[in-house]
Amino acid sequence: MDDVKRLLKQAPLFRGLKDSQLNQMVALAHAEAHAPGTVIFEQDDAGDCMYVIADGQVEIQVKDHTGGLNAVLIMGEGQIFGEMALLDQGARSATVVTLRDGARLYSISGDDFKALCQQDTAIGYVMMRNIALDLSFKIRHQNSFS
Amino acid sequence: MIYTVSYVVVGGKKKYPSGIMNQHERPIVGNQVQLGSDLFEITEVKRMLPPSDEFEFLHVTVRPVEDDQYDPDKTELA
Repeated sequence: MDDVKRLLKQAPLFRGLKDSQLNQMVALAHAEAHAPGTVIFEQDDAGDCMYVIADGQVEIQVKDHTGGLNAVLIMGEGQIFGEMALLDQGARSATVVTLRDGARLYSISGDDFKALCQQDTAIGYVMMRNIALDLSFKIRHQNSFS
Repeated sequence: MIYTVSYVVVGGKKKYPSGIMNQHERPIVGNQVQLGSDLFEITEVKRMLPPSDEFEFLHVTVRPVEDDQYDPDKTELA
């Protein structure tokens, strides 16, 4: 509990949450440990949860026009992935694979997340704002070299 | 302060993926950083967004480090 709370406090996704609100998010988080080279999910899979990286790095891979996978982004501690499918119910937009040291992740179910946000709209507002800010940051990152 | 850092690779013999990391140390020009299995040298650090709460958002440009240029004293973990 302490580990996940400490981590979530250091992740931009959860900034602005009061301690009691953060505790409710912590209760939704499930710890996962993955060996190097583990595929967390594949592009075009159905998506039902998002992930917070507690430790290690993951590689984001996207199919090119031949169907081959290209590494486009490496994400590390404190970052989230998988949130797009959670918001729009679309298929996964990329494949995610753990890198050389593996990764410790916390997964949060989309159904649980949306239920909490609807039940407590103050949490819902902060979380939706933070997801929007996170996506904005990723677009700015993408724009910086495209 | 927690730094959310956008790493973009410029140069190199192959195409490298970019990176997004949270870290507790501010990146410094001249230091080296590991992204995946590759080592890079930081060449530029710019603020991407105004700081918010305990977070600062930075854009960092890096270049690949060849094996013979590796310097453990300059290497920081991303």
